[in-house]
Amino acid sequence: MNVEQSLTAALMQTPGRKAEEEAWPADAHLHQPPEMSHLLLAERSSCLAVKTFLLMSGLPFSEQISENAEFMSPGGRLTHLPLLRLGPIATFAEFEPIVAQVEAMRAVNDWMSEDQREDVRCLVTYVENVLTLAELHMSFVDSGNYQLYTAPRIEAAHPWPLGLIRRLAKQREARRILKVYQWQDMDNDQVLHEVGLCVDALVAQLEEHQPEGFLCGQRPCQLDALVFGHMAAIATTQLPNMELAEILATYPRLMAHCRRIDERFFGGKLLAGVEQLELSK
Amino acid sequence: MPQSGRDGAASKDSKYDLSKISTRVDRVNVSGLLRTHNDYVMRAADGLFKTNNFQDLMLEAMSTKSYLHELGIFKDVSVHIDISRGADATPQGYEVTFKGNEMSRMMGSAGTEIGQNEGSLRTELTIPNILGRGESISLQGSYSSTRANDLQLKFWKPFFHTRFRENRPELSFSIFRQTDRFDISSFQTTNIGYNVDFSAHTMVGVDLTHSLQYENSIRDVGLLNKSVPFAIRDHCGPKLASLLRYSVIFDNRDATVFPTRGLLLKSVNEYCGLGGNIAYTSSTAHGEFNVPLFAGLVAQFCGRVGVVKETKNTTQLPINSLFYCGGPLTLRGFKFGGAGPVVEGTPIGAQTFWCTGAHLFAPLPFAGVFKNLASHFRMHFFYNIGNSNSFSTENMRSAFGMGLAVKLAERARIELNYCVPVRRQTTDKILNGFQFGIGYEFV
Amino acid sequence: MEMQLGAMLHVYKGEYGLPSIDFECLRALCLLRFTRCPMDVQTSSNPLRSGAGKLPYLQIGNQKFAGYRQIKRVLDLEGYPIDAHLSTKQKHLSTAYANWVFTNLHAYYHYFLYGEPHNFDTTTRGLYAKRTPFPFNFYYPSSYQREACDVVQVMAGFDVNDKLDKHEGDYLVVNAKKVVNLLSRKLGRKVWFFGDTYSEFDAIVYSYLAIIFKIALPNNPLQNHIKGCQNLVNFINRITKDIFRNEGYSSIKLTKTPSGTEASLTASERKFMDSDLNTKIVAGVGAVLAMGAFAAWRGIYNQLTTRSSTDYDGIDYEDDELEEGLD
Repeated sequence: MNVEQSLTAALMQTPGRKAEEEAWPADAHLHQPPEMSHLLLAERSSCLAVKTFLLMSGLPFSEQISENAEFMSPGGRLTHLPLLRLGPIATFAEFEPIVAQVEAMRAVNDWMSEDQREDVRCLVTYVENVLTLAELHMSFVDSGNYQLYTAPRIEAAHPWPLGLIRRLAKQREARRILKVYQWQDMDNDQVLHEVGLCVDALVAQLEEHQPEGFLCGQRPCQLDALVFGHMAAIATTQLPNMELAEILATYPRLMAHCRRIDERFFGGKLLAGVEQLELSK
Repeated sequence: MPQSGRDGAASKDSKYDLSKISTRVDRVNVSGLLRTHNDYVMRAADGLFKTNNFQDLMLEAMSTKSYLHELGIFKDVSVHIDISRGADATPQGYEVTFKGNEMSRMMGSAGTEIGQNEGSLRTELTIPNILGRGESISLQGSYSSTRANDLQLKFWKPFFHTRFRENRPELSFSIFRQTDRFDISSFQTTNIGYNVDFSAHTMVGVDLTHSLQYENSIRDVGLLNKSVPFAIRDHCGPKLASLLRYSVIFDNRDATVFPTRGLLLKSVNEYCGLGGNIAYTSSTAHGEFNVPLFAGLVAQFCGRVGVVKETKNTTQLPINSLFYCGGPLTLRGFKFGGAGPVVEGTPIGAQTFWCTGAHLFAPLPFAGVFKNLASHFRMHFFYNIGNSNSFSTENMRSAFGMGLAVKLAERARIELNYCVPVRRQTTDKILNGFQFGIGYEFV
Repeated sequence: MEMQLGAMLHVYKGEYGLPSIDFECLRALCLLRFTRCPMDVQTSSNPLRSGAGKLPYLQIGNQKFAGYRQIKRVLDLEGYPIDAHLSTKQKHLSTAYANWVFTNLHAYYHYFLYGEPHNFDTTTRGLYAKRTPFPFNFYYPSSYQREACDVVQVMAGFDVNDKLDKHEGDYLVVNAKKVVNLLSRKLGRKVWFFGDTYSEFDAIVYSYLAIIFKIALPNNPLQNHIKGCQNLVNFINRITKDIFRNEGYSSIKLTKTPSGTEASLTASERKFMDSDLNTKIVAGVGAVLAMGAFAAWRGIYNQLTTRSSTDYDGIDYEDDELEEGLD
């Protein structure tokens, strides 16, 4: 979240933009830690969302595995991941700054009205906040998930005393984020209630644009990418306590929407296993 | 040093030849031992009992006094030599008494330290002789304006009282937190860990000082600003280092800051990768040779070379172990780290470097007038040659110049030089003009 | 549903004509007054009694509900939900926009009120210290500073304890201005953001902007920017004057509230009580100083007098001798 980044975002905001499109660099790299062994739930959601968004926008990029991507990150307010590198110096982290940067370089949402764009931007912030915080809460505050999923995963990423230190540091960091967003005193039910409210809003949005097929109209936009990233990560990450996935499974319409995105951009591979999970219920 | 003194005194014509007065030491007393165990000072008497004339006795008493000082238990020691009295006194029998004044239970000190680019306040708290055999615990902290605070807690135990007295074995264990800023490459590392150090002298032919260290630390690389080339950003994050470090020093110079004759050779070798996730080997060697010329002129030739290499387990050479060539301590006439490889305009350390320097030190003109003060100053002319990442002389960097050097507290040297870079490369950051340098080891 | 008797919302007293100086308190007050919930408001309570260590808190009988989120839940249950009159879509948008404003202005608010050292030391610390009982007022305002440290670290990515030139306030200001522009555009000429009915979104916008707009800070770059958006200024002033007619407070008697004599009377009464306590402290300190000064002066006076008296002795003595000599 550096100044240039925010300035470009600010420029983008000014009406009557239409700055000439910058060239998308040939060496665009998306850095993230190994997904299967290191990434935690919230980080995985964010990485998936960014990847989906870049695929949707048709921008070429190469995926890079960097174990220390979290520390390479120039900032961010939630997960600090993933990291998009454009050229040798410019780096952007997290979903919203990356989307803002892409919007500044490409007119990706030109088909929407100004009002619609604002609504989408605001919904993106809302969904990103609620789902990420819920994921953080589930991975760090829920003791079962923390003991059996989060803690061993963090510790496995580093050699011994460092793994322990990192675990404590990450837990402290997660608790601090929850405190800043005023989620620290919530129990699981309240978290699920907040998630429910957020998903209700998404379902309403989806219903409004039912005939066109996507959340904001006939073309996929960043909100679709974000929702898909979170839904797919939550549904496919095996936690000891799957309450979050269970609550999302009660919204079949949204799941169907995600499955459609999966079919279109990932060949249906990501959510292939989820079917059985739902059937077994 | 006792030998040379003895010869000097013997050759001197004096009214009474002390070496002709035969003596026998009957008794050696060491008084003032409150917290110290008796066995710790036992070997102080060894030499004294062997003397048989008064001159030897005096010299031996002096060396014993300095030995007692080195044991690290006394604040000051006084020597009394008297003829022995009492029933079992022998004719020509003497009695030597050392009156020591033990150090207080806790000592504190504060001072300033000058680092790479800023001053810092250093405080030290020492508890000497904590277990009665010279062991000490010290806590050292330095605080600087950039919130890069260093801390060190050190436990030190000497074995000067054992039969390896001549080898001066000592063992220390320290826990530290240390921050190194590499402003030129916009990153800093914070090291937190411990190290165990064993050091000793060997005197097989030549006097060498060895030190063997094991260090286990977490090295956290962080960036100092936002727009940093990815090649540097790539190194961010904490890593665990586990390494062995062996250093050996040979030094027969007559002074540390402004020597007139003698040779210094020093080599430091590191092997990192005994566990942890950093792996590399690193060696540096430093040499300095001084030749006295006429009229107080001294010629000095220095050289330094360093190599970092991958080992089998290396995935990425750590950026904080690379070498920076250039700056007032290595290649004068270049900015610190300015004579090395560059990525996207930002200097980055080199895997190998070499650097040599030829100096001509001269006393200041009119040095005779203020003799005491002038011994702290020298004028010097220098010529530096060096290079990074290449051992050929083709693309090397060089600079010459002259300046003033000042001795600071018998350990450090301050230089103010006018430098003229001669050969450079396009990416180098040079400094044509006055350059200020402070440090312990120059090239 | 009737609110239970004796329910009381405890908040910090206002300043600059605002009903409260604190964002969270103002936000809770908005819930209360927008929905016309008949509940008393207490502005001179001890923040340490809330259970969470700070205001606002809602007390019903012996039960305490600290913090905005809990207060909102209680009001929702008691039949005063703030978004009741909105359509479903508007409800969703209200929540989403409220969250968006929070995400974008929270760090600005915390940095410029508590994090910026000069602002905090000259203004904010005093505001909170005045509203905290005596022994706690020394340490209590710093807890807001510590909280701001966390907020700024998480949401803006820099450390408030670092040197001032490392603070990336520019980023916050750019972001906040962007938000204000968008809010101004969204509000247009409407009374509320969603037309004729209030929403949680209105409450949060008012709470942030009113404080940032009214507070007198040495360094507050957003203030002028808000001044440039006339519809937002009107929005703030209208809510302050109409809805918080009774709670608005200012220690300097510049903003007069002509109506509501009873309320202004209680306010002035409280001010009198406050000034009484202040007077006591000032009087006590003054008395100690006066006594000390007197003692010191007496001491010096004594020394002066003894010295001069010895001088006299000497002269006397010499005089005697002279007389003897003359004899």
